[in-house]
Amino acid sequence: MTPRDEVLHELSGTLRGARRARQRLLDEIAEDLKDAIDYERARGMAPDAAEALVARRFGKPAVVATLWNREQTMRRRAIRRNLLVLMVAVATAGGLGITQYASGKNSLTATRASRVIRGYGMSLTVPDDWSGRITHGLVRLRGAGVRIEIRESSPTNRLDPFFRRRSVPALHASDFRSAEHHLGFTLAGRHFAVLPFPPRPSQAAIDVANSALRSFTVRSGKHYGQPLAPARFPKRPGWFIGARAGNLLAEGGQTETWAATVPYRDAPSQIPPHRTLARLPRDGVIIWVSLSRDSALRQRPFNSLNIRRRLIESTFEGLPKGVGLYRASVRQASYDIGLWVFFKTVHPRADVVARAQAQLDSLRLPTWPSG
Amino acid sequence: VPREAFSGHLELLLLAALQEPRHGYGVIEHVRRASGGRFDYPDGTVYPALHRLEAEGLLRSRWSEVEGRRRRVYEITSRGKKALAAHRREWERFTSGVAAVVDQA
Repeated sequence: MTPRDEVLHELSGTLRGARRARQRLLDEIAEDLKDAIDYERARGMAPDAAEALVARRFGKPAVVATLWNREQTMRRRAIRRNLLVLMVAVATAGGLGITQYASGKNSLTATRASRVIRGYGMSLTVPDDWSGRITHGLVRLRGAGVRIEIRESSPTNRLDPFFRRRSVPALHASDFRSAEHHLGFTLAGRHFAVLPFPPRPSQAAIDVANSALRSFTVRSGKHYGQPLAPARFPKRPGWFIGARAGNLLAEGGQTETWAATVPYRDAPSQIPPHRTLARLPRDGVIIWVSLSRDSALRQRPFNSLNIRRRLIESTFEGLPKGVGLYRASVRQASYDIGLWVFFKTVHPRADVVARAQAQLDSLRLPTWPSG
Repeated sequence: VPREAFSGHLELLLLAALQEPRHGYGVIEHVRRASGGRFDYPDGTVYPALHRLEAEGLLRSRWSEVEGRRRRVYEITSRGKKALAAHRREWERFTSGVAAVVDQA
């Protein structure tokens, strides 16, 4: 075990708190220690000496764990305290509401205050007893039978007339007619569409929704555009590999990765890869993987990254005759993985499938920005 | 510099170091270099503090991948900038107060 491994091992055994938070801390420290070791080696230090120096400079894992555990305990206590305050507030407000209701002054629902949600340079006041959330490129608002989304689109060089309106549109009952119906507008140079979802709510609920929409504010600036790393296949004899990185725009982003037993001849996003398929021998394989994130939609997962021979099919639209295809969609925390494995026949031999699986198992997945 | 003198100002140092996005080791190196090696504290102690500042909304972080290497990159939030300005004012008041007394002695 290297000094770096010892630090990580000792830390992992002594950290307390949520599993996810602990894992993130360990991953972060593992990567940073690697960086520090590389830095010392680049300055001419021997590998063993660099490892030892970096581990010594890191300090005693027990001290780091004590600091971390203390923070976790304090955070847990703060959460409990806030929860208690909230419970007392709710109980008090509930009692107050009942009193007001009994005296005919107010309704029970009026006791829950409206609140402002913020994120990605957007803000919106959520009405009393409604719920709202801002995530990457998307605002969700729901209450009183109304469901609305505001989706952001990345502006293009050519002005799209759909976004011509310079203010948030007011909704009418007729706007709740179809899930496809949406109204575009531009604020602070950023493009948005409001989507009112059916069924049709009451006029009173639409009025409340419009007051929330009027509170929608937008700041200009760069809120998206983070580079996205693609998945990668390692170099291996007998495989031709490639990948294309992407950018995380308001709508989401995608990267593509491929590995084929013949030179790859198609554009990264060309599916099926007709030109490569045309040159594929009978025992050949093409693996194509997309990592994608859509701000508003998530792909429904199906199948898995383990290729099942009986699920290889030839019915996909646009697939050349006789070609076998195994597809899967798998969810990760920050993206969806789309897998396409092409075989020259619908019934590939077991060793051909095993070869494809071995290549697929070597796929290295990146981490994308969360949110 | 004695550890206790430093520990009270860790927040100020980290927020100041993160006026441009850096990963944990980058922050440590920056503070070490900018202080001329005076703040050569155990590197590991910085991580719990970074996580705390993030939980308080003064920093935000994300994984970034450069040439196949993952790094957790931190950057200061607008709330963090306000906190930094407040810390800086406190620090200036403190140092000028100490200097005034020491100079008169």
